[in-house]
Amino acid sequence: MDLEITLRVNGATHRLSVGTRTTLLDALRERFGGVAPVPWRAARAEAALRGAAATGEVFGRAAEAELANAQPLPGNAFKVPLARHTLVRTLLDLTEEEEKQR
Amino acid sequence: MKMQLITRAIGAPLDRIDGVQKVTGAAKYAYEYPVEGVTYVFPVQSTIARGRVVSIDARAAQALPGVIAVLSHENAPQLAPVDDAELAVFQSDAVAYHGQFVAAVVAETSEIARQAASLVAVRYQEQPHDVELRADRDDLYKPLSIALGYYQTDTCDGDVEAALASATVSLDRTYKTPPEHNNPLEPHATTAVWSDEGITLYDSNQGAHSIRDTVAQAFRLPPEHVRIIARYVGGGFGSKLFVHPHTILTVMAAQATRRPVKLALTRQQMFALVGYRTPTIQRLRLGADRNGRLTAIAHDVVEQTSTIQEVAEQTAVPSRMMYAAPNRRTTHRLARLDMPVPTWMRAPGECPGMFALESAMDELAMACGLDPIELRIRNEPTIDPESGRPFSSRGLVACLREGAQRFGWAPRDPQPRARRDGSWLTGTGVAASTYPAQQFPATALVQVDRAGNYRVRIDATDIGTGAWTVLTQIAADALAVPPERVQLEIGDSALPKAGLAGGSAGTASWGWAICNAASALRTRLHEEYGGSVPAEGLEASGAFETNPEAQQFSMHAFGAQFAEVRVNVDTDEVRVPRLLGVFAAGRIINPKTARSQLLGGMTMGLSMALHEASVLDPRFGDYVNHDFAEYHIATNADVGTVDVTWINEEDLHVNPMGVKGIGEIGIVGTAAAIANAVSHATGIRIRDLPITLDKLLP
Repeated sequence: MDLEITLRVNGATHRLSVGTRTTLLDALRERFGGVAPVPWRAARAEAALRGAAATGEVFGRAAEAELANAQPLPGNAFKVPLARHTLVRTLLDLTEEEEKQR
Repeated sequence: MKMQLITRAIGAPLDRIDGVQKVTGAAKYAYEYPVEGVTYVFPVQSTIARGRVVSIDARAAQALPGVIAVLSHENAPQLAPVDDAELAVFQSDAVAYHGQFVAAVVAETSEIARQAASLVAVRYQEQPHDVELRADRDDLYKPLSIALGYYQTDTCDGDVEAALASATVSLDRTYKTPPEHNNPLEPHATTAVWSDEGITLYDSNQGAHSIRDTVAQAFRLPPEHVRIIARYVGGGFGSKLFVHPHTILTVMAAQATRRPVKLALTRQQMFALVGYRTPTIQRLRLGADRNGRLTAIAHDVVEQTSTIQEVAEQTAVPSRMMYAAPNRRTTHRLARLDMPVPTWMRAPGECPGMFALESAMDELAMACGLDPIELRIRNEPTIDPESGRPFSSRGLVACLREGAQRFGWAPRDPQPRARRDGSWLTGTGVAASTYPAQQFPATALVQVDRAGNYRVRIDATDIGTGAWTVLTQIAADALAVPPERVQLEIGDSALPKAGLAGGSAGTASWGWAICNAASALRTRLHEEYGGSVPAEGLEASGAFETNPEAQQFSMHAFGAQFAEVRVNVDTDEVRVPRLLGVFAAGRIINPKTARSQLLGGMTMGLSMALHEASVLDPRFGDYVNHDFAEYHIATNADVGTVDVTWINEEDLHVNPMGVKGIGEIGIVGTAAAIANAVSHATGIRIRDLPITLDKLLP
């Protein structure tokens, strides 16, 4: 059975149709813009999130997993904490939004 | 006797008289003059920062159809030496900075010239270069003077070290500003046309006479054989005050080919060839008693210049006169680097210097547990601490108080990182502004015909500021006629000589000369002709030389700037939803153009606070972010509400119009107000501009 859900991301509304056995986190595809020459698919973070509870702590761990192998240069080291904060904040905003919709 | 103007046009919000010409495209800029048989020159720039040109292979370039000449030190005509060694274009094989002209192609079209320039093969003998400014360099030197001899390099009053050692509260901080580029919207452009009488240049500059004299000297021409026309100029910000190498190159190309030549620098070329603001490293030490009264101010500045030409910015100068402290010291030290020649940019001296001083005052206020406005009021001097002269007028406290009320400053909890609105930390900050009120010599000619139409001729320059309009207003009042009766002619070295559109001195200087010419004409008309204009018309000249009261009074404009900032708790992005500037700058001739000018200055200050920085690649000695994609400038989306106002200030010591100049004060203090607000919002003090999010991230 499919369920229509609505997400608001950065102010824009997104309508999705997902199976009811799919958790929100299963459906996420994280991409970072502006930290790499092409949008960076955060596959490690996705793996860490799949099937996990939607808590800030879990999100933080997912971000850490994604960025564990980052090798920043002196001029772009700030992008590691920036990516971590942004991922956690985005996921929190999304899940809080979903909570409100229920 | 002191002249008192009856003001009718002065003070009116007149629309720009050049507005229609500009928006319809009728106003011609330097590159736009149609010239028969014109050719184009495109430069080849050095790819090394220091060394010699060993060979130039121009065969491929010369083989391209449409190429007229390839110029370099191998075939260039000999120039006469001028004061600025950077202008010795193609006079030797030496390379002194990355991007210097080493050759140039003249061709029938700009496209051919550019393509041919890319085909010129230059071989170099490279020498190691030295391009990095640090305060701990052992070769810093003390320039003979700063700001072209305008100020002493160092000043010292009292015993700063002892006062700092015994101060109840003291502060020792280092502030840094990066290299910044002037970047007027209109690129530097010249069209050079030789004729039997000499040469005419349609040139984008901030003072036709200044350009004329240098070109005449370099090419060994009588000045009257050089004519510079600059009727409309799309911004200068200091980078068009004096001749830069491209003007010399264009004249040389026209001379060598006996054809008219055009050149407009590309944005990328402008990052090496027309100057920039030196990076500054400023050590600021303040000492105060327990009531916050300053006992010592020490401002020690390190900055850079080039190996071929010295430019010494007057960064610590505002610390000499801003606040009362018995012990004061300022110093300027320079590093001579293998870098492009810096220049004067948007309130040179005051702008970077007041970022440091006004940030330090905010830090001192916190250390003393005082409101930053109260701290400044407690340190308000009764006379100029440097010269000992009274101020002709000093509106700082009035601006702070008016601004506090208008901004809603009080009640303000000084506690940092204590206010949050959703995901945003919020804070407010304040800083003072100042800029000297100065005047340069100027002459003007006023003519009237029998119908009562006036013509006012003066080599003033409108670089987009509103000079066309405000000089018309001043002339109208000086002649006691409506502005519609006055036709102004400016921007041409064939007009009576006047000084630069710089130093915020244009309106005061040009206006004074116009007042004197108008007064002479009215006197002649009444005394010689009984008030009736003769059939052939009548004219009179007037000049302004010096202001005798400048020896009796210290003359400065002041202001107070307030900023509200929001800093995102997750990303540390900084937003500035609100700026307020309150200024005390004497009489405002035109509230409409004045508001635009001050608003523009504050916007540039916001840009300096958050965005602008030229990034050096030390491997090449080159500023690498040399375009508008990578050299970030505040855009509409970055600018929130900017509230601009001023207090009524009557100061007839400065000049008969009572104007102090508003060209630069708008940018002074903005960056400190924003940095102070960021500190209030986040608890993080950024002393190294610009305030980008990487500096705030934990």
